[in-house]
Amino acid sequence: MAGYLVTLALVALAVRRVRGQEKKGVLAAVMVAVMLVVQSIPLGVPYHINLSALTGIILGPWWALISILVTNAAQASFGHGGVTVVGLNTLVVWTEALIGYYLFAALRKVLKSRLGISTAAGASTLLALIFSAFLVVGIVGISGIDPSEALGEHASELLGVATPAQISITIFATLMLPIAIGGALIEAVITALLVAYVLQVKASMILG
Amino acid sequence: MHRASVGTKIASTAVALGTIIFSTTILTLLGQFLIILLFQFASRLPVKRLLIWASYPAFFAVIFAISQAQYSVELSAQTMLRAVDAALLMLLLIGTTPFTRIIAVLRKASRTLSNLAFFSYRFFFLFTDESSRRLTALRVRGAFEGAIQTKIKNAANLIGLLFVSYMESGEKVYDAVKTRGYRGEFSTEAALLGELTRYDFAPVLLACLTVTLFLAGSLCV
Repeated sequence: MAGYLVTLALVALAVRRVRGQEKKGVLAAVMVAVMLVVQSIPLGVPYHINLSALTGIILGPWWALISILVTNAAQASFGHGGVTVVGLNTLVVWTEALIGYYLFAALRKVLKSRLGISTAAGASTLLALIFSAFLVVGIVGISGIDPSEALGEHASELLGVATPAQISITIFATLMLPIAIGGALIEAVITALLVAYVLQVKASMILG
Repeated sequence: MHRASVGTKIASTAVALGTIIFSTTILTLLGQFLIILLFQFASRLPVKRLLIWASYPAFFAVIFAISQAQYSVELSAQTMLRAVDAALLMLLLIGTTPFTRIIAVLRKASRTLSNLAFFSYRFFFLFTDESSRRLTALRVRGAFEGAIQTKIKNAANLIGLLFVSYMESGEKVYDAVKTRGYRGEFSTEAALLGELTRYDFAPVLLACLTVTLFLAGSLCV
């Protein structure tokens, strides 16, 4: 509930900040559709690419927040993602966009070549996603949710503990972080390659 | 369902969704599954196709369910059924309601959000078609054969090409709507919560049935 309230307050602020930017609104819609298409690809593992950092880089923080909310709401409507955690999920994914945006802006000042800019995009994405993975662990830790409810008996057996209730936040982090960091690496490489391609054919999309 | 007012349908869907989320017995979820299927059938929706679409969230639920399998088979089945029920319910709403009317409801909350949802809806189908066409074109040319480096390079180029193409489509659409007078405002059908008609009986019945099942299931536990 708190996640919903914070998200709605931020979205209300974002809507005021983007007023009058109709063209960017259409590009934000493009990014929503891109995220939906990309997320709809089952990889066979419990991870999907979402291009949130790239969304932040292209749209900026406020449009990124609105786009991420619409994407999460659309996904939840079709059973992909819980309806009750849309608010919290939006905040977590937004931090990826936010970090991606500011880190890329900072790195771009230093790395000015085409290779440098695509590396900056990849590095920003990697760090943003790793931060977000730790943020999720932190949220689970602070909220007092029993991590075993999310992981189940199978995971506890893999780690050699007797019951799901024995899964601590440390074990949850041990299980979750390698998957998240592996996924972050994949997404960072894809983002870097994608940015390299876009810089070749239409650099203004990335450089503004 | 098609002729019921949008407001009644959305409210009934929200109630039914709540019961699906909070149901804790497999029989309740199975009953809700059958009720939703019945309403889809009565609304003359392509039930087989919708079941295929609803299997997508089931795919993700399976991953979660497998992790629960040794803990409880019933819990795993509940996880999967809950995902499928929620998806089928939303498909029932979307399949019986013109998208512009759903957007019109969203418009009451925010014009920016409703415009974004409207454009995204349009782009999603355009992009899905284009991705599919380009992927097939690359496959028949053998782009995904041979060494792994070649495959990765071709896949990255495909994603980049699609991305640029999508962005250009977005810009073209914006230019097209701008020349038609778009200034961040779409006219939408306004009658959302008019007087209740006899057609509103269907969504109200759906909500009542799912709530009854939910209460019955809760009492039995």
